Amino acid sequence: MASRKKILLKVVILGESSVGKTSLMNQYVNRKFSNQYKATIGADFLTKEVTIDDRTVTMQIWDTAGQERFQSLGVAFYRGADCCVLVFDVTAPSTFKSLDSWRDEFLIQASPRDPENFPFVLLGNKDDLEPRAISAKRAQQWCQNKNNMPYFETSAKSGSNVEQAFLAIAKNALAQQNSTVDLYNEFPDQIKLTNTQKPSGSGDSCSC
Amino acid sequence: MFVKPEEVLIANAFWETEESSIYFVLQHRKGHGTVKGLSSLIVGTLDSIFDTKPAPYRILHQTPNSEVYLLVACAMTRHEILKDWEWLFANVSYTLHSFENDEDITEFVTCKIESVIAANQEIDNVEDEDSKSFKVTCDKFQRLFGLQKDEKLVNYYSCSYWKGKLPRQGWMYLSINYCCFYAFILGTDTTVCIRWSEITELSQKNSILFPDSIKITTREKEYHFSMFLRKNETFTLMEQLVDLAVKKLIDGKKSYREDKELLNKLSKNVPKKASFLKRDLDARAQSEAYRLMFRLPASEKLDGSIDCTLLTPYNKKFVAGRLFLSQNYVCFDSRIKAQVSVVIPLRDVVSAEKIETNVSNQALDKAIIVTTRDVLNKTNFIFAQILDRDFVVEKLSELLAKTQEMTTFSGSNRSKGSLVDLEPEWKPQQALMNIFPLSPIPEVNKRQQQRAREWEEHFNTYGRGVWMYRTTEVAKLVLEGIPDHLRMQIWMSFSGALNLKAAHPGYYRSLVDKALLQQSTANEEIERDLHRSLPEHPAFQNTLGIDALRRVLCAYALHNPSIGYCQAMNIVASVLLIYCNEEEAFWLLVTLCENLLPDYYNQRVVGAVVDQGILDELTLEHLPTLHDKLLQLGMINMISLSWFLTIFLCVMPYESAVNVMDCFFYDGAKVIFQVALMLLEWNQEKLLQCRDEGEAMQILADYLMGIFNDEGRGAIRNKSYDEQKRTVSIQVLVYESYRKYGTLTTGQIERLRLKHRLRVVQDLEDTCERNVIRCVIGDGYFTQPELQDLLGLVREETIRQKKHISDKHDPSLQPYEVYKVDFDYFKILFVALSPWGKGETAESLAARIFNLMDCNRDGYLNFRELAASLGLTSTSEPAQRLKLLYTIHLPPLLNTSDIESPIKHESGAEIASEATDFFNDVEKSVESFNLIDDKSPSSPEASAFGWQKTYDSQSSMDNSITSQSSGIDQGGTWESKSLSNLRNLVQLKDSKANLKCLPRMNQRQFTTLWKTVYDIFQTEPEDGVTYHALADVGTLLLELGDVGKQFFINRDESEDSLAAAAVVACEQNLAAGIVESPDRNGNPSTPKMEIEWYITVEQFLASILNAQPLVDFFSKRSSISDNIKLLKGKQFNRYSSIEETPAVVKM
Repeated sequence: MASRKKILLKVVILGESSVGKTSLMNQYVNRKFSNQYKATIGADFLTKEVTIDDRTVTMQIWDTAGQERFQSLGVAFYRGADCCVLVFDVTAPSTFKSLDSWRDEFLIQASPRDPENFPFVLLGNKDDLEPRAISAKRAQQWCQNKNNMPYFETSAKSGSNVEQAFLAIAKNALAQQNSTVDLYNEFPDQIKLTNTQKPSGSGDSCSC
Repeated sequence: MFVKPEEVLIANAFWETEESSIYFVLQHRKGHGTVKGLSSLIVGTLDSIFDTKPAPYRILHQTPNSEVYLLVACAMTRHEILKDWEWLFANVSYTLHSFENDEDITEFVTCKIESVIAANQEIDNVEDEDSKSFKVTCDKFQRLFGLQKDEKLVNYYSCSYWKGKLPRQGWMYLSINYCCFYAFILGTDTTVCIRWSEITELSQKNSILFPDSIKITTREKEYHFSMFLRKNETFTLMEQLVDLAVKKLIDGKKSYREDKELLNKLSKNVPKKASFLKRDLDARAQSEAYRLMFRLPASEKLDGSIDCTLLTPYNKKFVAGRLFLSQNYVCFDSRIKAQVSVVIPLRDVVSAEKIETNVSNQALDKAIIVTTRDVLNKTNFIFAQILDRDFVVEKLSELLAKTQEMTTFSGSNRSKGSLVDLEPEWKPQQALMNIFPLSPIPEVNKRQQQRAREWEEHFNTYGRGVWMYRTTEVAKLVLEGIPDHLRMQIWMSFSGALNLKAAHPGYYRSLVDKALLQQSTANEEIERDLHRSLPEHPAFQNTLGIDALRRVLCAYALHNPSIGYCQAMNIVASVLLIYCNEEEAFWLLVTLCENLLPDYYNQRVVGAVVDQGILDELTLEHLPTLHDKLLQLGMINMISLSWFLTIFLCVMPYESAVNVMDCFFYDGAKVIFQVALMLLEWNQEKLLQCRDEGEAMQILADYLMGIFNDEGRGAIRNKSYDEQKRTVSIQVLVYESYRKYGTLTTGQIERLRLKHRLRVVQDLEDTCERNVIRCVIGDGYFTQPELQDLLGLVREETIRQKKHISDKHDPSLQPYEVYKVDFDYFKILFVALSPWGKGETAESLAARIFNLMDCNRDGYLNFRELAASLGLTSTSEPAQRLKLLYTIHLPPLLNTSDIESPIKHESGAEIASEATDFFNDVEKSVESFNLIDDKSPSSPEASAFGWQKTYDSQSSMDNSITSQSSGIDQGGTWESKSLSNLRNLVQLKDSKANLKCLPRMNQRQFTTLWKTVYDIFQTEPEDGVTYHALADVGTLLLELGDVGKQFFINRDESEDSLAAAAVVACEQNLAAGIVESPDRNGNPSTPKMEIEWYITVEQFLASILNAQPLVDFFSKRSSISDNIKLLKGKQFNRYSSIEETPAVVKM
């Protein structure tokens, strides 16, 4: 039985404990916010189908544990990631400071082929809360130094900007996959896949 | 030392006589000392093969007419033996002449010596004294491997070491820190010395190549040993020692300490043949097995055990087994596994008495009865057939007396405590399920009542509480799930938490009081997770539950700071709080974190990673096909973290997982593995079909969330409960896992943990080292292999010094901060590795460089600072090296050396005399350094950015910005400030811009500097050209100093080399309000200085860089790796005398 080739994008969400990684993922995939999440132990993941440039891709979003002592255990989950999402809490300066360490650790453990150009996206979450501790400017400045990493300010609670952010994440992940996988992946599979495309129930086609 | 006289047959065979009188001969053993004749070689070989290992000096007694020699004294050193020799002459010899026949003489000597021995023994009749022969071996061991005196030998075994394909017969020496081997066969010696902490794998092998052997693997090499006489004993001891070493790597505090108390306990029955340490380790192992068997607190030490029978009232039979005694417990375990076991805490025992022998009942022969203070139904335990009954009873009453003392003592303490805090701010919460009862479901209630009745019956038959007769019956009940209201009681008894609680009355309250007032990272982390623990339960949507959870977690973090708080503990603790009172929940958490799941929640989650390895191995063993698939998907490491860390609580509905917890507290960690294997097996088919890890994870996640418990009260039994995909009931899962994988034993798991711990810890060490090197390599002083070598050396030293870093995994530290060297070791490294370390001034140079580079002034250089210190003198650009040389001859380095130098003890005087020369300048330098400080590129302690930035940025413009932003509020003396400025100046690669900031040097300073230069060059081969150049440059610089003032005026106008940035920096600081106006070069414009002699660093650099031979020397890149090899070769005797080393090299 020949397996149907799908485009699968693996996205890993990293960041300090309680910056809202699980909430962001759930807001994006299930469009709801809950304050009843447990602290993530190990990792969780959800999948979502998205259409990018007329192609349906499955996004597999991995949500990881945030406590520092789990940082070095990430390697199992980082394998084959196409994009890495870094999250910090705009009201908590320490979560911003630790971004470097998360990024470095990811690059070491995932050891992507081209670490310089591996796509990262930065999300400043909880922008519905006051007082802010990290200005958008400061975050953008940080991004500039990191190969112009895209930056979004989001609120997992209100859902603002979450859709846009993940769309950008998906695009970056896809670009990454194309640049590396095309070398040994035949196109026919992908064409077949666009043919089988059908409106997905998750409702992102009607998002605006 | 005199010994009991015994006959010696061949007096001269291996011995050489040094002195003799009519009646006595003093000899030393051939092969001892420097003589290297053939005979000494043979003696060496013989000693090596036959473990005779006599003390090298001895005195024999002999009568002229007899061929019989009596050994009367022996000693390890010549000095000792001479003392005995003299004593013999003073006290014995002259009396002997008065005797008439030889026999009388011999008798007198024997008598005299024996009385001396007896007299001595009374003085030092110490229990733990190792036998003489063992001491000799120990001494030999230390000498052979050049180890320190405190390196204690544990035991030694005869075996062969496979060097290539040839076995070499010799001895394996096992000590606390090393595994060594020595063979000496006809002049060739084979030495192996492996540190336990270097070992990555230890295994028993049986291959054609190495039959029945023990294999030791380190990062570099494999070693094979075979032909053991007692292989199992050897291997077990090796395992134990390597485990001690590894545990020490995990947690520095767990280092080995002898336990004399433990030893005395067991020494009654153990023949005293092995070493003190071996006995100690044996006792330790036995105690550990004992504690594990009965779940006793870690402090419990086994006193002894004896065979006996136990009367089991429920079936009126006598069960054969073994009685165990320790300070606080009497325990019994049946000979037939799991038939019955009993744990009786002595605190609950009222009396222990003999039962008078009853002729009619043979079974009650030699019996004792132990009565507990159970108010309701007094429970008696009858042990019979105790051979050594009197001793056991005596011991028991002794222990009882001690326990009663303890309880009355702690009782009075408690009452005092309660007087102080009349009104506590908080009350311990009772089990939350009582306060937040869930809506009753009739059928569930019925089932629970049914279960409760079963348990009640069981209690009536087998007893209640800790001292219940534990049989397979109770196991059956546990497997079916414990009723909610009994959970606390049963968890507490079976896990041993009850014992801990009873041993520490009032502890929890005092912990909470302290913990809640503290501000710590752990407390912050806990606060963030309180609402993310068990949010679905109403108790945790309420402050009652949240506050209790906070107290338990904060108290634990304070109780065990090496763990602090780890996510997952919140989930476990919140479930405990549902079923248990607050204090009970705390003690269960303690037992869980420290006994059942050791190291699980520590800084690197080591324990969980270890158990991942075990699950992997078990999967391979039981489900080989699936194992391949899981390996390919990289699954084991993904699933196991959440499974293990929360004991399934966060991956199953918690009411199902809590049944796993029932078994877990009853049977230990093996339950987790059983259940995990069962789950994998049931999903095997589906998992084998998976294409990626996501799919596989989804299958398992869905399956686990579908595990249901119809007997749960249904905290989350909301409307979706009936709709959710139900997979299997928890009762079936637990039962099947026992049926299928119940053969796993705790012992097996412990053994596997030992094996995997070794690998995991060594991997962590490797990662740690890689991180260090990654951080430091960017500084550009050394290549990766060089840094590896250097780090290896430092690491070795850190471990050796036993001041192991407990904060190794402190996240706030940079990786390289973990490895640090003190001044003494830096001196050794400097002398051995730096080209400047060869001359007479080496030590003083080392001290000054150390002072300069010790950024936080804690008396240690971290690894990065160390690499920089060595690199600046041996691999950096010549200009940079010269800059350093110049700098360390400036105040405050020269001045401080006599105030605060770490070397003040060794050679303080010498430096002090140098330093006093410059003492007059102190005041001036205070001024100038304050100035410099304000202009400095960056500040020392300046947070994370500080150093890094100074490094990266190439313009002083940037730097001054940094200094303004980050350097505002640092305290510290002018001295440390100026030091840090100098340090930054020295390390900056862009020399031109910052040279201006280095102060000028006066003549006396320069003289010392130039002396140093000569001294450094001394070690170079005699070379006329070089010395000529040295003289020339020296003269030139002296002349320059004279016209310095003139030179400066000229140059100021020229503007040629002034970097614009530097000017900006200076001017900014001017604006910042410096009262005294410095000139453009950043020097204070003190008119007094006009006529003074001085040179500047530019002049110094320019002059030297013009002389080719000097440039050659200062740009030579010496190979640090070669030097490290040399140093390693000498390392064993490096502590003998540090002062010697430079002297030797100087020759």
